[in-house]
Amino acid sequence: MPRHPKHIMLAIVLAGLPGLAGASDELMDLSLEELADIQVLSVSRKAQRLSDTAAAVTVLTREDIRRSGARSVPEALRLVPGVQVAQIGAGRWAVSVRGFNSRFASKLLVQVDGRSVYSPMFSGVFWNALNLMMEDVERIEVVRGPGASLWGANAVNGVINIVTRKAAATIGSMVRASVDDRGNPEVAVRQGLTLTGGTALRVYALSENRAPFETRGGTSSRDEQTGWRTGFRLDSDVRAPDRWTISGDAYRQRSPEVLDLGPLGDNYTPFDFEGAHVLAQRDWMTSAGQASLRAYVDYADVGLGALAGATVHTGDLDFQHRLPINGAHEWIWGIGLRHQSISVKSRVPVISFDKKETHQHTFSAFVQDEIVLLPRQLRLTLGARFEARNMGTPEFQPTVRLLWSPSDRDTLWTHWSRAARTPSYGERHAGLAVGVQAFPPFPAATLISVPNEDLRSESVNAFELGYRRQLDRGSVEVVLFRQRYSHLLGSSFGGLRMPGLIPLTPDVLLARNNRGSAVTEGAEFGAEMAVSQDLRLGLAYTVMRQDYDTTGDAILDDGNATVANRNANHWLSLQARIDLSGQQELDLQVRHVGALKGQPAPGVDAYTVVDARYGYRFSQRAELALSITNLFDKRYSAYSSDYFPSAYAYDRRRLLLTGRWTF
Amino acid sequence: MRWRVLLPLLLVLLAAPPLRAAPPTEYQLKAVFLLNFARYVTWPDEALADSEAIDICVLGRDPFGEHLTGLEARQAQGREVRVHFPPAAENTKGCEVVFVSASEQRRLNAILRELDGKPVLTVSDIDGFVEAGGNIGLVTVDDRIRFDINRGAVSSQHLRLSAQLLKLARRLIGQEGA
Repeated sequence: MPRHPKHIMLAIVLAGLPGLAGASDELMDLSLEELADIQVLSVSRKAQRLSDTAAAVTVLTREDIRRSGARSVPEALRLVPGVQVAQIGAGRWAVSVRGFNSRFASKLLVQVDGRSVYSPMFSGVFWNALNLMMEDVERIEVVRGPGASLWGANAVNGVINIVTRKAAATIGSMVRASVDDRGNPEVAVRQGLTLTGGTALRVYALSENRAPFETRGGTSSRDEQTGWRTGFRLDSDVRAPDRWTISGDAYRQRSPEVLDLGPLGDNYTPFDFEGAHVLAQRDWMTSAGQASLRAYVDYADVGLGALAGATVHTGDLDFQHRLPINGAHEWIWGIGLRHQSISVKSRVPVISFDKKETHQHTFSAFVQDEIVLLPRQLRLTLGARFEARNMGTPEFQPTVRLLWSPSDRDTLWTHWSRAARTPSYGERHAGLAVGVQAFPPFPAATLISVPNEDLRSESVNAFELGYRRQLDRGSVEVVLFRQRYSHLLGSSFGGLRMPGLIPLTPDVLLARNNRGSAVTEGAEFGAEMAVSQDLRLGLAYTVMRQDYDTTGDAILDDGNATVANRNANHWLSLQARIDLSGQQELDLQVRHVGALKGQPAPGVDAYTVVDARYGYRFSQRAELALSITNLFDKRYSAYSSDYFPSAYAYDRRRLLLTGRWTF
Repeated sequence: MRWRVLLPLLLVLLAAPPLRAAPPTEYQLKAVFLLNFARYVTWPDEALADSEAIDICVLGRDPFGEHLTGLEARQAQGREVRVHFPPAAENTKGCEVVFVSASEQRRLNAILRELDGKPVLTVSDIDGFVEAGGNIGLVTVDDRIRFDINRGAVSSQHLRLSAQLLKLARRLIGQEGA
């Protein structure tokens, strides 16, 4: 708002000008002081930063995350085109990119500051255990499509990189306190210090306490989330060319759910997560380029109440080297070593393991050359990753990317990649009761998915065509993709077993194999626009389909169809950020997700939900925000849990009042 | 049904005439800042000897478009301003001002290393630019354009900035002569 007569005059001067080029003339005559007082229509530099990137990448900034009101990473991801986010329960999520949505979406790699949070146990991410301090997230980078040549195996459909803020950016104290409409309080505290020599330290702790969803009948789903996380980050002087970072954290999270164990009935199972990690990274410049070395150790444990438990220990070492630009070439190479030990225990027959402990050693190496074919116009990127482990065959994952910029504001790219997804410990060694089915005229029998140690990797051939344009007031992006998968995991009839879990009937065994093949194809559309200084709009829209090839094996085809039908064929999110005044913010978000065809009865209908957030800033130090998730109180369910079957959980309107003080 | 309630609301929001005049876009103003910086810097004589003009070079994707090229033929320190788009940092000989575009973020360290010690003023709006050794970093604060200056880097580039420029900087880091 113009606050001074002089500003009003300036505004009038600018308003009276016919075109933008003309406005420059007027601006030219202003002094530096006056220039510094002019308000501009600022746009995010995200698209610009990505203008030389031949990949479908979306970056969520800290401001994007704050204004979305997201309290967890999956909530923030709803703003990203191509990312399918379905909330199963209070803390349970199914998040995927380009199909194969699942509670453990096996083809999506997720990393926090370069540390993988993808569990080798279930080939997926326990989102409920990822109770991060959202204020300390600097950005979330989402790469759709294979990122394997740079990020390694399991980055088949995409990579999500969560990057936390440097300690120097969080000097001082912060306290956040919130309470929801059901009286659940949460607290987070953070303290940042500058130490001697420019080193900065941050320590933080938070508690999580989220209300449960409800069942179809309207009673509690008993899946309330409680937990805590505490951690630190120590950064060397940001001004030094040679930088290091040490960070670490420890967490606990209790995430109960009522499992439907078929013959054994409903079972209230608290999933108890705990974990800790320490990570150290050094980045330095030499005349031979830019290098970084990262090492971490990570411990993650999940206990499934009285059913089972699993512990994963990881040690990882990663080195990357970016060579100075040499003519038209820019080379990057790196090597990585990872050791993981997995140990499991089962206490009931619904989950069993044919091997109690395993050690995985992985060696990987990658190289990438970015070649300028025509300066400022045509760029070719060739890359490949080689990965070998002490089980299975080595994987070679190449990528070719071509980028054409007809102008400095337009980017057109195409890429082809091959990527692989290694079978998880669970897939190779776990037996699971996956359901009960009647086979008339025979009585209902338990379906048991049996382990198969000889499973090979799934692989994909991906093709992508994208266009990105930077506008004066925003940016637009359109991406078309087609991914052809082979050796997909599926289950065929594997015989009968006596005695069964249900007395007097044999169990029906399902044998896992690599006989599936499928295609996903679709389009992703993203746009950002500053309509005025006070109104910014964001749009993400995705259409997609996923089809398996028919194999002729009825059980396999049926299972494959179920996997495919867990994906919506379109979804949309529209976000409006409104600055009501210097102190007041209003954020609206509309999200629409198409129906899921093949979910168990009663199925998942298409739904449209509106979220709102009102923020009031008392001063630079204190702010209060009221967030309303599901403003119109639509009762809906987004997904039914796979892997661990449970009844549908329904969500209602939720209110959350949050106060934040920095001092 | 709720959707039908909300849609008109959004349309109203979109269609509502802006209460204020359209402000200049960010890069329109940043282009003017670039020109102004060129007016407040003293280059060593030999740096200006190569041509009659003050050469402003943009490394990477040009975010300015017509807003910067529109400044050509304007004067700075009695010389004409010209805009160039060199393909790489090695090709910036003859440039008096180098603007490093956000597209060059991951190459920033290499670019600054290449330009180190040469009589060019480096300007960018990449986060952490002055900390990384750049001269003037443009920052957007509350929809206004401000700038930070790294005095140590400016003097290692053999340049002098006017007192007025230093006074207007949001933040000064580094020591002169460092």
